[in-house]
Amino acid sequence: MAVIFSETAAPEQELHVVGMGDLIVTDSPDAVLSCIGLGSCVAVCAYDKREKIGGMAHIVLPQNYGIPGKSEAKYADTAVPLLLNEMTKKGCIKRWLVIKIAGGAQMTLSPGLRDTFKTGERNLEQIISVLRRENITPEAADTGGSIGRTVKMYVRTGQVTVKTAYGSAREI
Amino acid sequence: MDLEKEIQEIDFADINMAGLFGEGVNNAIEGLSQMAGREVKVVSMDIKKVLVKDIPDLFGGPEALIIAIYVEIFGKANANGHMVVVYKPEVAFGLVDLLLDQQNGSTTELNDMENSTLGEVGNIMGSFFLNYLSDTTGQRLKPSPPAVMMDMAGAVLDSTLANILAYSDETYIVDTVFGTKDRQVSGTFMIIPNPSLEAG
Repeated sequence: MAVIFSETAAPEQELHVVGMGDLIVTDSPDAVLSCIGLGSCVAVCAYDKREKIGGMAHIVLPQNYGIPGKSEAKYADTAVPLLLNEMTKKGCIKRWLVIKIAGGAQMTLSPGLRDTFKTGERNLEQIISVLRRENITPEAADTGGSIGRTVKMYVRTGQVTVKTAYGSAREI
Repeated sequence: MDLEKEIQEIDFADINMAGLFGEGVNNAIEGLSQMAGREVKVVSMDIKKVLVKDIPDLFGGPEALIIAIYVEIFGKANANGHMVVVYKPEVAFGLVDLLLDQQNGSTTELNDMENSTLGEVGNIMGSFFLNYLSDTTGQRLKPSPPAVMMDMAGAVLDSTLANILAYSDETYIVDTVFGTKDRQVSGTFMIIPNPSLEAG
């Protein structure tokens, strides 16, 4: 009997969509964390290789100006520490921690368009600088350009895949 | 047109904003009419207040392919913003056919010609919309050159949505159906004022 691998049909997987400004940390081995359709947003994926804990943050903007009631997970400067903190709470040890990032594209490219926002670029800069403060260098990154990405993390294996609108998923 | 009825359903505090957008979009379609050299009319218009995080779902989910025409708006310090017009790809192709006076279904992909036609749509709609807004508010507003994108809905919209999310969880969108006698096109407008918060 032919076995066709189909990631969505596999019944044992539970897909958790990480929406804009959300953050999910889980140690359920069947969980698949996913940020769908990232443009200038960035998915920060954290994984504990030994304890098999996975976490993903869908970061929208670089800086939290402290607007009351706004989610910390939305902003790079507060979301990254929050993600690391939640990972630690689940039992993650920094020594086994792997960080991968994807996203941060500049979608609105056009000759003569003054882009005053540069959200993607600024998101990435902020994330890298917060990680550097924690002495963490991302192990893999698929960032920039002007393409949308869908990112998935398989908590059982720690694999992170990136898919674009016109391409198939590939591991980073 | 149900515009007035729609407005009645919106909070009193929001009437000005919603009415302004509605009239602005009407004006933008009038611009399109001049570009096409034929009468293009608004068939229906639906102004909705929606949760920002639900917006990609309105276009078939964050991974669905869409075509968006994006124009940045420049005004005085506090009047920066974005205007985005979103079409399903086949609808945008239909619009290109309509404007280039081709048979419906001739356009099947986004190449230079299609890109610049849609860019022109952005130009015309952007300036007509902003003219109306400028006239009404007394603010001088200028559109940037347009960017035309075809990619996943989430990706195309998130940098724009990010700028709304910085200060609000809700925004207005305007669903319109417009067209000539024999052809109709449906698109969604989003006009996003941007308080100087994120402009730096």
